[in-house]
Formats: sequence, C-alpha cells, structure tokens
Amino acid sequence: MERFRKVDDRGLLDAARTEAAAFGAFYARHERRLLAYLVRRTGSSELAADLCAESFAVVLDVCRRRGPLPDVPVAWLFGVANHKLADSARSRQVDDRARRRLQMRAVEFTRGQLSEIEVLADLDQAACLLAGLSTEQREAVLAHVVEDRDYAEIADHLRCSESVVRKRVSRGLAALRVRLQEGQ
Amino acid sequence: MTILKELQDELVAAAGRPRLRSRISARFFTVVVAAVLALLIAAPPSVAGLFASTGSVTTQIAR
Repeated sequence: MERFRKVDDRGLLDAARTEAAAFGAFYARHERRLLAYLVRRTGSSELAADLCAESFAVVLDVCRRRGPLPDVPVAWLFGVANHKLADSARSRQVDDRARRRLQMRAVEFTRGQLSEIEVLADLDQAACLLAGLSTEQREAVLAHVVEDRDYAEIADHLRCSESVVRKRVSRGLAALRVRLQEGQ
Repeated sequence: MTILKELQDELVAAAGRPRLRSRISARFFTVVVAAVLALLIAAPPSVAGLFASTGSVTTQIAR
C-alpha cells in the first residue's frame, strides 16, 4: 500500500484494472470519509457500512469493465453512494447487485466496527462545526479544549495577549453551542 | 488502518478475480475446440462428407 501513497485517485483506479492491491489503496484512502458521510446521513452505522460496501463495489465493477473513469473519482464515489442511499430509502433495503456481480462474500460487521463508525459521525460533525469558525477562533478552541493548553501558553504561541485568547475561545465555543442547538 | 478490513480484503480479492464473462468465453472456447477435435479424430463418414461437400461447393463458387 505504501507504494501507492503518491499515486492520485485516477491513477489508482487505472492501476486497479491490472493490480488488485491498487483498489485496496483507493478503498483505504476514502473509507473513513465515506463512512462518516453515510452514517451522518442515515443515522445507522450498519446501513452506512452496507452502503459503503456496495458503493465501492460499483466503482470496482466499472473499473473491471474498463469503462471510462471520471476525472475526480472521489466525487464519483460519493455520487454513487448518494444514489445508493436514495435507492435504499425508496426500497427500504440496500441493493447488492454489484457485490453479487463481483461474487463478493457478504461481510458481517462486528459490534466494535459499528461503534467505530458511530464515532466517525461525531468526529465528522465536530469537524464540520469547527470548519465554520474563523481561523483564529478555531486555533484557540482546539489549543484550549482539545490540546488542553492554558491561556498563557496559547497567547505566547499565537503572539497575542491572554485576554484576546480568552475572548476567541469563549466566542468560538458560543458559536459552536449555537450551531449545535440549530442542528438538533 | 481501515475500519472494515474484511470488506477491503473482499474488494481486493474481487479485483484480482478474472471477470465472469472472460471465464465463460474461455470455457466455451475450450468446449468447442474439444468437440471439433473429437469429431475430427473420430472422423465419422458423415463429418468427413460434410467437409468434403463444403470444400467442393467452395471450390465451385471460386471457379
């Protein structure tokens, strides 16, 4: 997998047509983002895992048929996932045609894996909330709340006064609180 | 490290498997070749006659 690190997504899918491990690298690169997205949309880690499996299977199936590859494969992957998500909402079951075409075994997901996927949803939500803050507020909140550093140390690092850091942290947290309430 | 390692392994295994259609055509080709060989080896009069008549018709058309 290490040798694929510098290969872009398009290159990985091209390589996957002759080298199976390249698809493993593509999967590893996008698994968490896709699972986080799907679990947030569905609210169910099991459903998210199932949709994730089928979405990657569709992409692999197209690669194997030597069909044309898109310029931005990750956008395509998420598009396929959205499509499968809408289908599953309509039919109340996740399609598995691509997996059957590829003769893939049904994978049983363990309780540990499913709870790991649930955590992804929280991390993804936190990342989205933090992304909505200004750079100064985000830096201050991360340093104080996540890294547990005191105000003086942060002020020294950011080259500003302690009161400025306090203000940024408190305003940042207030903004996060408001967004969390809006989201509920 | 992926969360669903078994799924990743299944996808890699599927990526490495030959496609169903190519496997079917390979098997079909083998069966056809084996059947033709069997007919030629056995060479019953009807088959020999079929080849002979086809040959003569082709020759006549060519002329």
